[in-house]
Amino acid sequence: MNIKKKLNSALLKWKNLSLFEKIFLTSFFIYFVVEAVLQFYPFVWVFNNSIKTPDEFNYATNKSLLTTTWAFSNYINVFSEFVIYGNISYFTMLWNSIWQTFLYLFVNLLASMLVAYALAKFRFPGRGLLYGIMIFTQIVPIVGTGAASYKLRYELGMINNPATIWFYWMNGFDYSAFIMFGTFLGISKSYSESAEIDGANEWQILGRVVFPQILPLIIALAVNNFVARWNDYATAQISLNKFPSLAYGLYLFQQNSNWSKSGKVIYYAALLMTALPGVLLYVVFQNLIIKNVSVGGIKG
Amino acid sequence: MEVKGDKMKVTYKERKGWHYSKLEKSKFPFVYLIVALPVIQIALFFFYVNLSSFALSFTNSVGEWSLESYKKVINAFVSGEDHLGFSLHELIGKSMIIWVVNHVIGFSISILTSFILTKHMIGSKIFRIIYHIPGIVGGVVFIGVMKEMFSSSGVVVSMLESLGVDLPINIRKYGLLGYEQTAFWCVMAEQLIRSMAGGNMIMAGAYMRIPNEIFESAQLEGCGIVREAFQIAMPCIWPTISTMLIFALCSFFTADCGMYLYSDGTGKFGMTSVGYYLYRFNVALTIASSGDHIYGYVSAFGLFMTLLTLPVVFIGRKLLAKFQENVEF
Repeated sequence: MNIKKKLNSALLKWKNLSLFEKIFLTSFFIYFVVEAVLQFYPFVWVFNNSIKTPDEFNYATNKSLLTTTWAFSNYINVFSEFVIYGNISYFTMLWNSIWQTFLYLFVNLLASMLVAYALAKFRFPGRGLLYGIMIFTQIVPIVGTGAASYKLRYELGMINNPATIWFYWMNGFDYSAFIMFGTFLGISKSYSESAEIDGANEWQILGRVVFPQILPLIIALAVNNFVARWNDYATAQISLNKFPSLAYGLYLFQQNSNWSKSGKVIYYAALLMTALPGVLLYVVFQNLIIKNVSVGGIKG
Repeated sequence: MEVKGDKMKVTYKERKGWHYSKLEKSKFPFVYLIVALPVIQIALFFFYVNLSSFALSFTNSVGEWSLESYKKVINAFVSGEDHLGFSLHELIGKSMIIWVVNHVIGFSISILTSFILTKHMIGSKIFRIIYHIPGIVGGVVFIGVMKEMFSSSGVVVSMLESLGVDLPINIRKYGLLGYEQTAFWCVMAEQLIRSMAGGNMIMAGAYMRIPNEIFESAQLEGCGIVREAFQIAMPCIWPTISTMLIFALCSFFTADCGMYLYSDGTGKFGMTSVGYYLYRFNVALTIASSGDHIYGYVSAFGLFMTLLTLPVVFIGRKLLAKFQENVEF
């Protein structure tokens, strides 16, 4: 019913358009379709090859779009055959990706929320300085500090150390804080003031009054940051190379594989399996992300 | 505030906004407690790191105080080649091409296309999901997939062959990424497609927040789609556009564009950029005893690039601020 209504209204809108607008929109529709094909086809190609048997897959036949074998067992074989460093399996890399992603999300979003909350809702000595730092770190391009940063992490014992790496990730002045700050400014103080009158302390106000109000934004940022962190190979390569994540594992597997027939189909299956969590999360939460994660103007 | 007769004297603290009520003061411990760890983190990993980078830039390959690193950087810029054999002119030129492809062409197109997609296109949700796939699946997966497309057995080479294009032997053997004349431009083609689609996510969100009533009343007054886009929608989301442009200016020399992944970490066949160059050094540092001598050079190079980028960013910000209008809806 809803779709029928939408179609009718779209048709009515279309009828009211001028000829120029009809040509304009049709050209864009063609552009969108071509762009969608260019974006999507590579994945169809990889999926098609990921369900071929190693025997069916070879360089002469892998140009065909459709497979005849449907070897979904390749996806199960990933767990036993996708191995790097000789003994690190897909399961281990999956676990590394999970703990690295969730630890990052927890400490980063917590720090961002606390900094944004303090800056948006309280007046205190140093507030202007902290706000300035938040803006400064966003808009001043500093190139090539990777060496100094690595040296510091090395000296602090943070390289390949899951027990300390969380502190490196606890950046409360990044893009997430910037977005949360804007949202906190828009939340009325009256809720916190009423809770205060009812006897709630600051922690209770933050946890029970403020946090539920920005939960949709936190979920949206978590999904957004999940996708970035899940696919981040650089951190694993530089800081946690003894705990390779899936993204880094894919890079190493591709680098070190001698590309036997079986290796290639397993690689394709692993590529798609690694991409799946991010795609599913995005499909489920896309409206929430678009509504909540926005970039406004920078003042200051 | 002190009152003397009928005159009110505003203290210096009040003028500066440094006067706090008792209630505000009672909340200081809580506020400082919640920001303490993030402040220590930023002090260490931003301010200390930057100061340390500055200090390191004045050291030589054995860590002694010296201007050797800066001499190397300046020589590299003058001669066009650094002491490690990299062509800096090529790296900077390619970074500029990457920036133009991503931000001037790709982002500009996405400003218009995301408006059409959000406000006037049927099936926009499906298009949106498809366009975001490269961003969602991430660099390693997407580049892994694209490398297969450009390989000797991939779709692109097959299509060119079936169109009767006479391909050099190296392309037929190693694919388009294995040939000097095509490798970098294949990456750029992929980047263009990706950036045109990628800008949609943020732009779509900004356009969706403009109330439909604004467009409906414009339509009632006979406003067409093109005027709607350029005279209503784009001015409404100008703060978002200008902020994205500032972020884009900041990434002038840091964008790697997957060159490291495309070239398997080697920068071969011209797949390089300043971002790739710097990342490559970071990787070298992780390999024990192979990277210690480059701390000074990398830091000096980074500082030099920062000095080149800073004026561009500040002039860009000033110019963008001139066109800034506060739009409320």
